[in-house]
Amino acid sequence: MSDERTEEKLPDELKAVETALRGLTPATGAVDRDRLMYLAGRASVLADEPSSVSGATGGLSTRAGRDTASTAGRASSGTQRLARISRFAWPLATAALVLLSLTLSGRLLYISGRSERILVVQKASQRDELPVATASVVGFQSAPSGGFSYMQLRNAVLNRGVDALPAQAVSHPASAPNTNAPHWPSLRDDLLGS
Amino acid sequence: MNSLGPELLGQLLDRHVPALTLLARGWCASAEDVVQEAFFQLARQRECPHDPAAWLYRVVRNGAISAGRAESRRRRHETEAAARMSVWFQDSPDTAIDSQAAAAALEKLSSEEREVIVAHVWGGLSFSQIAQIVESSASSVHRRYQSGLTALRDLLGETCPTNELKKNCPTN
Repeated sequence: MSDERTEEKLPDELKAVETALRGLTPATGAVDRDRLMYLAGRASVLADEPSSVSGATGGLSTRAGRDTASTAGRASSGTQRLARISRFAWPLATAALVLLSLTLSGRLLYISGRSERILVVQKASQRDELPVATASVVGFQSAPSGGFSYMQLRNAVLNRGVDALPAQAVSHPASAPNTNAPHWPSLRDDLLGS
Repeated sequence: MNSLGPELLGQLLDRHVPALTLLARGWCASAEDVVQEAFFQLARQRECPHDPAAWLYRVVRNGAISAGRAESRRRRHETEAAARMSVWFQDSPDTAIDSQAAAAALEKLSSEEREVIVAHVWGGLSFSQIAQIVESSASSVHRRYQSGLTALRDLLGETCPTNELKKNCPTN
C-alpha cells in the first residue's frame, strides 16, 4: 500500500519512462531452466555436503554445458548420515571441553576454600611427672646439675608430698647413676635428727 | 527435498531469473553463475525463506558484488561492457525503447539506482522489500528510484531510443 502511494507521486514523465522500461524483457542469457532445476534438486539432496556441491557448481558455465554436479550426486545415505553427525562434532567437542573446564575450576575453588590447618602438637613436657628411674635425683641443698629435673622433683613433692618420691631411689640408692648425689630420705633424717 | 517444493522453485525460476540476471550484470560479468549459485543456495535451505523472491535478490546482489570485486574490472570492463550490453534485453521491435539504448543508459546509472530500478521494474519487488535487501529505508529507495528514472529519461532523451525513430536517426 505504501508503495502504491509512492508510485502515485511519480511525475507523469517518469511514469512514461517506467512504462517504457517495463516493455523491455530482460534476457535470460545462458541460464538453462531445466538444467538449473535438476541441479537445484540435487543440491537440496546434498545439502550436507556444501563443499562438493559448490565446488561442482561454482565454476559451472551453462554455456559450456558441463555437468560436474553429477559426480557429487552419488553420495550414499550412509555418507549423508555421517555428514550430518560430523556437523555437530565441533560443537559437541567445544561443549564437552567447556564442561570439563567448569568442573575443574569448581573443584579447584572448593579445595582452596577448605584450608587445611596443620597443627603441630608438641609432646607434653614431663615437668609434672617424675622419671621412674630417678636417675637425676639431686640434693636438696646443692644446685641441681640440670634445673629441669629439680623442678620436676619439686613439683612432685609439692603436689603429692614426700611420699611421691619413688621408693626405688630411696631403697636402692646404689642403683642411681649418680651415686654422689644425696638422697632425700637420708637428708631428711640428717636434718631432722631422727 | 526441503520445504521449498519443486513447483515453487520452478515458479521462482520462471518469474525472476531474467531480472536476477539483469541485476547481477550490473556488477559482474558472470551473472549467470551468480544467479545459479543463488538458486542452489535456496535449494539447500532447510526451511523456505519467508520471502523467497527478496531472499534471491539479496543473495544475487551480494554474490554479484563479490564476483565483481574479484574480477579485474580495469582490464575487462571495457571489453566486456559491450558484450554485456548486447544481452541485457531481448530485442523486440514492439518495445517503446531500444533495448541497446536502454542497456547503455542503465549501464551509466549508479549501482544503487540501477539495482532499485531493476528490482522494482522487472523484479516486481516493492520498495519495502528492496529497502530490506539494500539495508536502507523505503523512502531512500524511492528517492533513488525517482532519481534513476530521471537520469534514464535524460539519457534516453539524448539518443534516439524509440524504435519508431530508429529509421530516421543515424546509428552509431
